[in-house]
Amino acid sequence: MVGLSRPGAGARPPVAPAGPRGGPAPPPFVELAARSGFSLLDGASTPEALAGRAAELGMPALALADRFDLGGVVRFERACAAAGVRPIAGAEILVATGGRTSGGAPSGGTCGPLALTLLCEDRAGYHRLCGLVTEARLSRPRGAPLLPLERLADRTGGLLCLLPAGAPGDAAAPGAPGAPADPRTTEGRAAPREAIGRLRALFPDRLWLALAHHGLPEDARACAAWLAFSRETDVPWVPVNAPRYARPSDRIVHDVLTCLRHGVTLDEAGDLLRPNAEWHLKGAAAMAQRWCLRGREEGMWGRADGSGCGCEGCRGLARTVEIAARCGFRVSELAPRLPVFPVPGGGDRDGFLRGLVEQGARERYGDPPGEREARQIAHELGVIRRLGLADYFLVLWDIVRFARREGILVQGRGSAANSAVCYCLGITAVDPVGLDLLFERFLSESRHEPPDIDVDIAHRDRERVLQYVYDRWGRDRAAMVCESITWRGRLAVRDAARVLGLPQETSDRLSVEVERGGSADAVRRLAEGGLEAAGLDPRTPRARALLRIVRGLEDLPRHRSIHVGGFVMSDRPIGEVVPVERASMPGRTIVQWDKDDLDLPGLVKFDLLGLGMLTMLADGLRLVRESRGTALDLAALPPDDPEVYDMICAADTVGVFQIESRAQMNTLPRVRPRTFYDLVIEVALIRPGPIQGDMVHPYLRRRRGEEPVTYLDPRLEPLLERTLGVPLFQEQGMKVAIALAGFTPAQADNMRRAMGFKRSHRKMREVERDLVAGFAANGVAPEVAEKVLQYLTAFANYGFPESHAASFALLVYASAYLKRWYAPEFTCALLNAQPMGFYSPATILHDARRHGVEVRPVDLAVSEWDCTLEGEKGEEGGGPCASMRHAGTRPPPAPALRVGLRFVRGLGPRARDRLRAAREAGPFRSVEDVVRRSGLGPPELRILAEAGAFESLWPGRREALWEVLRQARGDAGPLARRAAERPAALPSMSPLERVLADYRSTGLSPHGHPVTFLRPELDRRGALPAAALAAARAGARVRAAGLVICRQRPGTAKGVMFLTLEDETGFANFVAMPDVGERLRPVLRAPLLLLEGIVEREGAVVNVLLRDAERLDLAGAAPAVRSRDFR
Amino acid sequence: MSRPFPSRVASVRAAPPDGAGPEAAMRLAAALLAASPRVSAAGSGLCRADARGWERRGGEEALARALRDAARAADFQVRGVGIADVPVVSDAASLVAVRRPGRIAIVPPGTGRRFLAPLPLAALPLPAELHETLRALGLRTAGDLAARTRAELEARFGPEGLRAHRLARGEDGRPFRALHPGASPRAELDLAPPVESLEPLLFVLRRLLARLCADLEEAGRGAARIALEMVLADGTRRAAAIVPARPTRRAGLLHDLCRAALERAAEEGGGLAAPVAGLAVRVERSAAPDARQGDLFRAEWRDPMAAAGALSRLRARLGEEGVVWPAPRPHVRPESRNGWRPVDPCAAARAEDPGASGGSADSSVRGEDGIPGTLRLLPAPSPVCVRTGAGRPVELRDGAERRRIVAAEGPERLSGDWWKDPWRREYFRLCTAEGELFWVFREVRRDGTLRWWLHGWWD
Repeated sequence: MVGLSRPGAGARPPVAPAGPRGGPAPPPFVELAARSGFSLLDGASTPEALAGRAAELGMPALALADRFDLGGVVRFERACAAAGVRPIAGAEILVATGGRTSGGAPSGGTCGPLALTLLCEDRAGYHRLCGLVTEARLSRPRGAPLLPLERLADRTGGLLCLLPAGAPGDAAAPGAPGAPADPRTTEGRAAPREAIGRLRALFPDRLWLALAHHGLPEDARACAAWLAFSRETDVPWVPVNAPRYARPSDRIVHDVLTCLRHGVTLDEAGDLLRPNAEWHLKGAAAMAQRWCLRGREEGMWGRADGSGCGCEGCRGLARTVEIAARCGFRVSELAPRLPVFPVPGGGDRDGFLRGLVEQGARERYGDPPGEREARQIAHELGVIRRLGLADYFLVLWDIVRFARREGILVQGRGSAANSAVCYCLGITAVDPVGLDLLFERFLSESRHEPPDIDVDIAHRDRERVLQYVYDRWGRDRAAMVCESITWRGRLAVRDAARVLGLPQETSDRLSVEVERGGSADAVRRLAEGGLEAAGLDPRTPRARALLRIVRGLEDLPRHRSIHVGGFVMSDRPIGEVVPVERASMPGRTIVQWDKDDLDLPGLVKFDLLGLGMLTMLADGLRLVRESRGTALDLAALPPDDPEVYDMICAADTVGVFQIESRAQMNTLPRVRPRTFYDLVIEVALIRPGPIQGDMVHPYLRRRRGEEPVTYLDPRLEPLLERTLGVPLFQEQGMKVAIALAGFTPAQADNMRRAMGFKRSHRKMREVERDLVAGFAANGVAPEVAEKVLQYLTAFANYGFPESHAASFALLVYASAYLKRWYAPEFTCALLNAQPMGFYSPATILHDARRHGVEVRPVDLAVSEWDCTLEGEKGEEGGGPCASMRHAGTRPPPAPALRVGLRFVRGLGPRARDRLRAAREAGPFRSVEDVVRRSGLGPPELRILAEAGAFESLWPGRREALWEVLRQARGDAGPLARRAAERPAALPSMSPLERVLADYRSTGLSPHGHPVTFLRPELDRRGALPAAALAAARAGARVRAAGLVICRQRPGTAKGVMFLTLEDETGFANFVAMPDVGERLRPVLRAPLLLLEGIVEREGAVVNVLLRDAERLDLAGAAPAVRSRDFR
Repeated sequence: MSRPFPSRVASVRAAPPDGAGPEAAMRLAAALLAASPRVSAAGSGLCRADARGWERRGGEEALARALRDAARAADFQVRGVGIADVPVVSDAASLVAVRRPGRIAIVPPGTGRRFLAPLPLAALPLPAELHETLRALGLRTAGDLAARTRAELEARFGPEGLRAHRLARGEDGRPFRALHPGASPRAELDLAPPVESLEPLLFVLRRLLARLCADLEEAGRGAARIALEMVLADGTRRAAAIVPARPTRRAGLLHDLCRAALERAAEEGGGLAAPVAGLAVRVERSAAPDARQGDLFRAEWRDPMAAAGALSRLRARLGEEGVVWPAPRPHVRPESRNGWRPVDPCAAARAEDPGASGGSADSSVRGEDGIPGTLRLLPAPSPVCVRTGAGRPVELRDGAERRRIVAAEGPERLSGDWWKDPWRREYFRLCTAEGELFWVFREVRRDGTLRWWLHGWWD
């Protein structure tokens, strides 16, 4: 026990704060137990901030030891490399030192769980640490990882162990030896001798007591006791500060995280908060002041070599450097390997891959393939062999093969479409040789990185493919990538308001003020009037604190979620490469690394993504086959069908992949696509890159012949010829660098990556320097060089790869082809694949009706759960026409579309299963039959009746509902039993009421468009139908009315709002300038509007510049239309 | 059906000035007690009052005005006042009243069904789902619904359909008991939704007693025994008899006594054992009021109720926070670690009971900080002069008196409250040449200067 004593008496931590007063530098120190934000809710700085601070403090190395987490080590290593600090990977784990409970779970035992900081000495140690964290995570409930101490037996090689020996009250740190048990800690924590003895056996010569002193009275006592204990037992000790944040000012963030962890406000937190701001990263000087008595007393730090004065404190500080020197492992050297692909009959994987590719080449390119194709394939196979990536391609081929076997539509996209090998393996559907795509965009020998292949899978069947991957390669060798969700503006504001105890209403208002964006934007908006608008006085401490919190939370990890489709695999248990934990979704496991952190360690990712359009196309092809007997093959659709292109040129593209948005529809009549490559351009044109790079309008003008096609340099002509001299694709950017700056393909790819690499402006500057030098060396005129550089940098974050656009263009053409020639099948498949795309089911249905598709209402007698196709009424009983077969060349009659029961609001999966089961026993014949066999309850029956689903079983929707209500209830009640029913005599339903009832119960109506009923009034008020706007002259003041199906305010539009109205004839496009939009904002929120404005015309494209707006009401009952609102 | 005392009900619709909160209905009901002794809070923004017995006080029009004015006096924005035979009609009339002069609509006795017939179904208190279904069937007005047969509706909607049918015909079986003219003074209030904590109940109690005492004053009587009755949400009733030492009509005194009774029934922390749906106070026995002051030494004051009553008086005089116990608080700032907690009278009574379990808290912190003594904190840190050498305290000055420091341990750093009142301190334990042990700290002020404070000593 340390009482009041004279300075210098006894061995105890020094006490007075005093800065260095010249003289030799303090003894070096390395922090060995730092935590980052990856200790979720218990670390308040990013790994980058810690590394940066360590560099500022002159710390030669730094150990990151997040609790049961190695999610930050990649970022940490990258940041340390940039800062010139040696990174040490580690983690803190909790071990139970007692036995097991009767349930088998490890218990605290007599000593309670202890926290151990384990540092990786070498690669073997790293793998063991990952394995321990994985086991603790997977064997325990989420959020409560723990390991029995005995599980460390034989698994400590390559690991150094620090036992935090802090003051009582520190979570899971043993209290001072000999001190009375602290009531705030687990019972018996004050007696760790036995546990320490066991740890010494597990970590011979690799165990240290880690003493922390944060300027609290209990620290002084505990440290003195532990020092005595160390001397007595010969267990060496090291000083640590166990920082939770980089700088003292970050303490506020840690306090906030503490509150969030405990679910309390700052005012309620009390002593849950740490009592001072001493948990920051401290450098050698600060630690020497704390631990080196002589340095503090005499202003000197011992010998000139900085090794300290030789006191016990200095020896402890020196030990941290010795420990750091032992830790040589780097995550970047990990290079895990993929599972070895089992070649049938054994043999060479490269040879097997070559065989598959050659076979595919014969199918794709003919037998034998052309010289150009063969040369490209040979080149690619050579690169793949030299990079040792045969397993990668075989694994992917295997996944695609499984999907095809199961009838699941898949298609590779992204840069993989640049590869002829991928094309021959059937992974992609675009011929890169024919399109002259750049292979190095996909794979480069200089990059030493695995390629990035995205495989789109019909979204309804994706889970089957994912589970196949788990089963094929083993659950212990495959896992999904996580996505690290960080605090951003709105989320940060909400959490900050919560911990500050602000009312929910204020929090909501603040959230509205912030809108979307990062924390910096949020702080700016709040500081510039947002606080006042939300009812907070910006001068108050709480308001100021709110801004500090929001700023401080920026980019800190908040939680993990599953990446949309990233899979990783390895030839050893993946949990030994990176810790694995359970995802919230059953049957899924995720690794602790974010998708952006896989490159450095070399972990290969397979992106298996869900795509609704593939589901739609698969269904559409099936429906065409079933209804018309025509077997269509996606790969063999008639190319360049003029009628398909006519439809596209007319912007008649509702439901067509990628070109259905309003912006795309506005561009189509200007681009007037007539070939497949035009579609590739169309897909890439309306993107942030070309828009921000100001490339859209030059291209459109050249396309229409309004300006000449010129090239900045003659060498650019062959590269940009296809895009009329305007660079639109990433590959073009790379080719320009190759042609004008003399870059190699690999250099060009590095340039692309640097420009797209958000975290490194330094790399971008280096590339720009190289480009400028290359331009000069290649004789490019300075003004041309400057212009080209501007084009290239425009692609920095948003450039679109040509191969990717080509893959998408295939789906564009396929879906457009279906829409043009098989509209009923197209609509049916599109509706069944919902939710997807840009438009609501109601809009899709109205569009189909305008294209002549007969739409039949939902009907229990014939409707399936999904939408179906039917023949003529009366034919085949009017039911689904699976049996319809049409031979010969005469086009068969188009089937009618029957709306499925899935659109009846309020029917869930249980109702679906019951209805399916009942219908398998035969179609429903009467109301009584439905009530008896369907197993549906009165609420569901009532909903169906209100939707009109009984009308063919009982005439009249209201009368059917009246009857259903009676039958659903049975004969309960004394009066009911005696009742002699009269005819219902209910008011008949008007057409408008019918449409409104449809909208209310299904969100769509096959009985007409609601605006039809307003047309007489609209005519009287001079409102034009949407279709008539096409003939309106430019500058005319016009009116149009309709349902608002889209409101958009894109970030690139500088506050301009785009509104699309739908009426019975089509769409009317309005543009609201910022001032008008602001003036009319409350009105524009209404679902049904009458708008007035000035016609702007550009060729066939008509937009109306909004001037005024008025709400409309359908007799007080606006339909339940949901517009798609985008920002 | 003939009734011995035909019912007349007034419905008042009003919005509070500060938005609808859970207490708004209760506040409105309490305000209306000024005009009627029997008030029912029927939901958000709607209250009902007994409208009988105003024939000699200006008629129903006068009652409607009185209710409207009482609500307005409590800052409510009155939308309408309706008076009719039964609640369903008076509620509907209060809706219609929005467009009537003075926002008052009175439906003559026996004409309720005819009044309701043209009104939309929304004027009836029907479940939302039933309302939607009736709409889907094309039934738009109360008259449409009333025109169906009972059997048809029961066959489709069961008892709910029958109830809807009755309401559409202006037949409302919901209880709203009228007070008998000439009965003992009584005031009661229905609570919707039921109240789950004590505080709002006490608010209502005060208004009820004020009403009761006003009636007593009018009658020239004092209450000798009061029945306090709670109707619980499950329909059961709890009653308590309040017997003041002498007949009285002092609302404050009666409130203290009723409050003590309610608090005994309440759970610890202010929650009630079961939600309370109604509260009534009724004078069971009255007499001429006794003007004498109470005698603390009389035997009837020396029962367990007396302590609670005295405490209630103290609390009433000093406020809710006026009578407190010391209690430790989890706080980083040393002087904030000791706090005060308002006394719970029931707990106080238990604590005074020598047979009650649980000992007194040990206030000693001896030895916890490693010093063999007890740390005594000053009520508030006191400025002190400290001379330092090499950054460490070497002398403590208190006026002219100087103490040489022979040992100083520290600093121990504490800081916090950065979001409201930031502070940052560095504590030292000082040992003077005379052997005194002091606890001082230096405060780092915003301008970077230091200031020393004496915070305590060990003895």
